[in-house]
Amino acid sequence: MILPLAAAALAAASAAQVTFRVTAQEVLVDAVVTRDGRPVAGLTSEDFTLLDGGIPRPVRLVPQADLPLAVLFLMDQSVSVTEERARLLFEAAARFGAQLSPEDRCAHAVFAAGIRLVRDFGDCAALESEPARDESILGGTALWDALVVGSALVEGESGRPVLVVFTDGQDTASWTPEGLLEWGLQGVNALIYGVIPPDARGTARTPYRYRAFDPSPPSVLRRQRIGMRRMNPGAAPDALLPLLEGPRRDMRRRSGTRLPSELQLLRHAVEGSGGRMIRTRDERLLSAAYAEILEEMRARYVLAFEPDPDEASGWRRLEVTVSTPGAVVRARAGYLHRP
Amino acid sequence: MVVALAGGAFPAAGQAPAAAAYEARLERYRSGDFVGAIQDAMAVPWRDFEDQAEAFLDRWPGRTAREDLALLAAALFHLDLAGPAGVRPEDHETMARRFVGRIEDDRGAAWLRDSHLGLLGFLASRSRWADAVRVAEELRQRFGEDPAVRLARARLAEVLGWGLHDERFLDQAQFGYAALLEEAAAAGAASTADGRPDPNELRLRLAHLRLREGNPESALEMLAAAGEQRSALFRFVAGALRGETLLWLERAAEAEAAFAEAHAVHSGSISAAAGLAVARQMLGDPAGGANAVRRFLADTDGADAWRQFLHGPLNAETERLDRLRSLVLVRVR
Repeated sequence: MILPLAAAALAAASAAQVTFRVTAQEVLVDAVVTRDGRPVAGLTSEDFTLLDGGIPRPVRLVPQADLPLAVLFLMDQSVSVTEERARLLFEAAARFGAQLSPEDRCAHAVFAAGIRLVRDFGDCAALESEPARDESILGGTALWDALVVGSALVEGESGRPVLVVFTDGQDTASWTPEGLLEWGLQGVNALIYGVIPPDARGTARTPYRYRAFDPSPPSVLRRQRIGMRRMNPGAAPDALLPLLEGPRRDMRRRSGTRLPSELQLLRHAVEGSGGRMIRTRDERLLSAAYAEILEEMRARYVLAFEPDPDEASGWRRLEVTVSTPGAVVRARAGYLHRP
Repeated sequence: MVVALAGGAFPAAGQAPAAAAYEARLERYRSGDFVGAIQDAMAVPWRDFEDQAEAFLDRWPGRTAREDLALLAAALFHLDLAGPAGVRPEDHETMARRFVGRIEDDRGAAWLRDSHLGLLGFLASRSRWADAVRVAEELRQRFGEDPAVRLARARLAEVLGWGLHDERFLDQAQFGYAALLEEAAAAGAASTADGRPDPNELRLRLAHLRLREGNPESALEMLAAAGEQRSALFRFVAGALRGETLLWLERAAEAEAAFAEAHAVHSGSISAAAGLAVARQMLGDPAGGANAVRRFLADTDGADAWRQFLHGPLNAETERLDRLRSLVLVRVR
């Protein structure tokens, strides 16, 4: 993350005026290091190797205390989410917020066909634990719209942006084209976590390999990504096909347009940010999923490095590894370089 | 309720009660009590109602203007049963066409087209897509060259292609719009009378479809050809489309300006606010992106202007039914 703050910020940060001990040119990378599924503690900056577009960069570790969080809980409240599930989600978010520090800031938004900010950024310990269903936004699931709104809100806050998204199914109501969402998320620094319930739809399809996050994609790739990634001949039921009768032009075949599910696209966005999708095995374990995210947030390392200002602007791939044998690192796939 | 309904020749003796029963229902319909007449008809078994309609049809050869209006009224009655009431849609549509088909002068064809375009609009407004496509196909078979019909079919294809992510429909829509634009340009026509397409609107729609097929350069050319937009909706659409197109052409600063124009017109539309937020994030202005979505959250009423652009004109075809109904209303004595 390139922070729009002066270098060598003050040590005594307050909730009202958050400052970071990082320089304006530095990019931040959250790295979760595990071995056999358990966090690896005690690593130093010398243990990490970071490749920025294939080029090794010196890194330093930023103490978490210097990086207050700005957390937005984004919750699906479409008709398929039961009142009991909504209650569990609000409780889980409130419990999550209660364990954060006074410097951290939290907000809460719900979405269905529309999106509403239930609570703007403020004291994390004061998050509501009781859901308030908003009838005015019901009618569908605008997941992509919510992700764009959520990521923009959290990016606009000072602090390390974190987006925790809960959804149980497919996008049915967004006006934001999927391609625009993917494109837009490349410019986002937020760490995104996805939580999905056991009955979430759209997870059974063949895994889809996305080509987003390619640095400066050639035009042929870009053409496949305009607006509606899921463009797909054959999606319409037979009853609608008579509309294709009459004069028409020959169909053009487009390559690389297999049909991914919405949850696969969400997974792609989440994993590209360095976050993780958590699928709960049981409704009652929703709270445990949020606790898992919190634990992971606490165990993560925050790396800072300075990109080469002479490199051309655009998206740059990142690779982070550690010297610890058997350890696995999860970190963001890249960043948008703006020299 | 007694209404002044035009009389006609009496049917054969055996058909008289059936025709009279039908005529009574039609009188109620023509008095303006559409709902009452429809509910009354729905209570009658289809076979009986069909027999009554047949008996009534036999009375009306359709040789005078007054008879024509009675036939049109009966057709609208059946289309209201097929559409708003959703009762045996195909049977009632067929019956409606038989009534209008009895009208011998040119008005019959115009009424048949308009009533079906109106029904198509109604069905689309209720998301009854399979029924809408069936009516669209009926229109194509009867009025395949008519610009209003071709425009409505292209609009339906655009809506379905967008909603289903099925490129075949978007291709079909693009083909239809392009042909209509070519004809309009050749004729030098700018009139939108009688459903004739507005070249300006066609260019915006073609820009949208060319962007969706992955041709942002062509989309930008089409937007440039469309020029300045007079209506707020079209200004919004042009701004949002230009913004998305420029974003894909990696001209983020220009995209931001275009999205800002659209956002200024309809700040409560997520489509512009989302684009603006994305452009500002790419330009390294996350606070500006947050401001855009905050204003959206404050101003939104749940409706997006894009929805109006995509669905509005098709839904507005329903007004044709309203106009026809007003023709057949009779004064209460």
